[in-house]
Parts: sequence; structure tokens; C-alpha cells
Amino acid sequence: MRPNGEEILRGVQGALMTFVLPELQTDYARTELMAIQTLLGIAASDWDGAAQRLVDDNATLRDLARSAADALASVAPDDAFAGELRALADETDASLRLSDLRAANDRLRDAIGRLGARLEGVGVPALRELRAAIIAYLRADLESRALPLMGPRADG
Amino acid sequence: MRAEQVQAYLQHRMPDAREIEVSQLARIPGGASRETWSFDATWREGKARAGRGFILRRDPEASLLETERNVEFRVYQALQSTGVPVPEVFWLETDPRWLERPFFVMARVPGVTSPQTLIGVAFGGHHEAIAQQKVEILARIHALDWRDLGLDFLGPPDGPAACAETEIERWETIMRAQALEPQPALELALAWLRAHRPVAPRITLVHADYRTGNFLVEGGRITGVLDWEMAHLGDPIEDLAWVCLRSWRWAGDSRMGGLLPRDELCHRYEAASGLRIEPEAVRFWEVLGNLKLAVIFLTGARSFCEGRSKDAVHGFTAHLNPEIEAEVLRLIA
Repeated sequence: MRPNGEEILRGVQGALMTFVLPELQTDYARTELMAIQTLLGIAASDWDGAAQRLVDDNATLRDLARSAADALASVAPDDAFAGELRALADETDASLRLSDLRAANDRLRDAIGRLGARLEGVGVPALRELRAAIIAYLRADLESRALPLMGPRADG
Repeated sequence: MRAEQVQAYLQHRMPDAREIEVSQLARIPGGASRETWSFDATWREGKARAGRGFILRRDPEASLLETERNVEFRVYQALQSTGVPVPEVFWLETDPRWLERPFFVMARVPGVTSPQTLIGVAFGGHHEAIAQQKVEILARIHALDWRDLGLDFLGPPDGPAACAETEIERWETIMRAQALEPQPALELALAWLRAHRPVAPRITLVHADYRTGNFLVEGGRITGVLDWEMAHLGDPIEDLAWVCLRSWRWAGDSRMGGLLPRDELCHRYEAASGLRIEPEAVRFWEVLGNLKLAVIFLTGARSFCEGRSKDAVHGFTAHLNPEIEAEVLRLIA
């Protein structure tokens, strides 16, 4: 069915700019409309690739969870967290519904967050490397999703 | 909000005033935790006609941040005549019969707040003066005797060593209550913060949102410091580090707040305050500041997703978090 979701959102954006914005009387209303425009743009951009991004991210997180389980077990073979991470790494995405993919993604991110916090200040080289790998993954993921509003604001 | 409602309230508060007229009532964009409205009012006092501009800060239906309106009002009251430029405040109202929700009313002070305007060409000749005043006013805030001013109601931390943990706990509690999904970057940040807590040089009043955009400038003069809703007692370096957040580098370069390079800011603050700046302490408070900003945006996202807020800005701001969290990880890596 056309227009599809993305086309509808883009069309609504155009209609708001053409017919609604010129009629607005206050700065507050115009500011609010521009925020609505931005939200519609975010939703439209997310539309087509949302499921694929979650599938890819879940696969990356499962690889990270598996590596983490191995690293933890190498230091403490009875570490229960290693078992939890291995179980998460063995999960698969049986459905392409966004809600199912998101739920699996939340489980993985929750575990990675708890693990990263636990690794703060560790001295064992293998675990220090694991913390660095978690930070590298998170930074790459965050930078891929960032709206580049901070711009070239390098620290001085 | 209608002008007649505001007019009725002014009549209630100014029983001797006659023929009160309210005009130019307009909501001002922005404001993390409450609605800001501007209006003009005129009235007759005896045979003379009087008038002035007002600002009304009303509790929203939902906000980026739940704060106590009486904190902001009482801080404004306490700072009158201290040398810290703040608007005069008039009335704090909690009775919902006037404007549906609680609010307070203060004087409208002349000046511009927009960071883009302040760092732009129009104020180009005043940047140095604005930058210097910004530093000196911050040092003045931190030099105030908060006990003498009656600000101990803000609850001082249990000593200089407790300032950092107090703020970590404050923002962790809000994060746990408001986040709609796991926050792995912020979990790492919390662990890092707990392992790197600095001791405050002393306990001072902390503005807690001291950035270009939260003060009014007219010509080359800062006429008012605004938005005290997060004010508390704590480590003064918290304010200095907040100035340094990348989110406020409005000029698109490395100048803090679009005004001063980091080293210059720190040197001037040291000179004005007499405090010695430890770079690691600034880094700690920058990490906490970024975490706090991310948590504020998570709070707005929740109110938007749950339908408590109809403000599209609350839906948008959480999309700023990936960039903020990436900055946190850069700082703690």
C-alpha cells in the first residue's frame, strides 16, 4: 500500500510547513511545530531500517556477550554472570516484530551495562580488555545513532 | 492561559490597584521544568497610572525535570541584594483556582538569553565583557554565605567529601525511576563516578544550570541569572564543569559556552574565586553533568511516551542522548 509509513510522514512534514507554519502567530507555536517536524523526520528515517538495525545489533551484542562469558570464566570459572551471558549469547531472534527484537536487545544491553559497571577499576588484563571492548562497542553504536548537533566542538 | 485569569490574580494580590490591564501575554519557548510566560500589566494607583513587565513561571503538566517551585522562588528571594543579578520575585502561588497549576511571578528583566544571539555578530563587541562577568558572577555565587542567606533549607551534604556522592545518588535515583530502557553507557558512567569522587574545596551554593542561555544580557552587561530550579548546596566545581559541557559550545568550536577556551575559563575562575582547579575534579563533574543532562532528557522522553506531556520537545530531546552518552564514554575511557 502506498504511500507507505515513511512517505506519509514525509508528506505530513511538507503539509505542516506549507499550510500550518505560515498561520502560526506565536514564537512558542512555531518552536513547537519545528520540534514536531524534527520528530517526524526521525520517525521517517527510522522506518525502513529499524528491524535490520536491531537484528544486526543483537548479533553484535551476542558476540560480545559470548566473548565476555569466556573472559569472565577464564578468571573465575564458577562466575554465575558468565553463565547468564552465555545463555543470552545463545538466544536467537525468532521473530522480526520490532517489539520482540527490542525486548531481546534490552536484555542484552541490560547485561552489558551491568557487566561494564562491574569491570570498573579491574586490574586483570583480560577484564580490562573486556571493559575497553564494551566501551568501543557502545561508542560505535552511539555515534552511529547520534544527531550531529554538537558539531565540530573538539575539546581544547 | 488567558489574560483575564492573570488580571484576576493581580487584582487578588494588589487589592489597592484599580483598572488592571494585562497585555502581551505570551509563552516563551524553552524551560526544562516549568512553563515561562511573559506579560505586561498596567494599573491605577491613586491618580497615577503604573505598569511593568512580568514573568510567570507555571508548573507544567509534565516536564523534563520534576523540581520544587518553592526552591527556585526562595533562592531568588535569598539572592536579592547579594550582588548576583537576579530578577525581583513577587508571589508564589500554589492555589490551582487561579491558573490551574502552581506558579510564581517575578519581574521581567531587560536583556537577551538566546546563546545564538549572544555569540553572534550583534554582541561581538561585548563577548569579552560578557565572558568576564560570567566568570565573576559564578565566583560571587560560590562566595556567598549560604547560612547567612537562609539557604540551609537546601540541605547541605555531610561535608565536602559527600558532595559528589550526593549528586551521584540524586541522578541515579531519577535515572532508575525514569529510564524506559536499559542505559549501558550511563551504568558505566555511574560506576566510574563512584570510583573517582573528588572532595569539594568547600560547600557552596551551586546554580546547577549555569550556562550561556540561562542569563540575560543587555549591551555588555549581564542583567539577570535565571533558571535556579536545580540549585543546591555542593561542590562549586560542579558549576564550572557544567560550563564546559560540549552541549553548550554554541560557537561550534572549543570555546566553553561559546565564549572562552577551557584554560582561560579556569584561570579566570581561579583568579576570581581564589579556588585552585584540579583538572580531574573538572573531569568528574563533566561526566556527572553529561549523565545529568541525559537523565533530564530521559525524564522528558518518559512523560512524552506516557502521554503526560504533549510537548514535542520532550519527545525530541532524548534523541540527543546518543551524542551525550558518547561524550561520557570518551571522558571515562
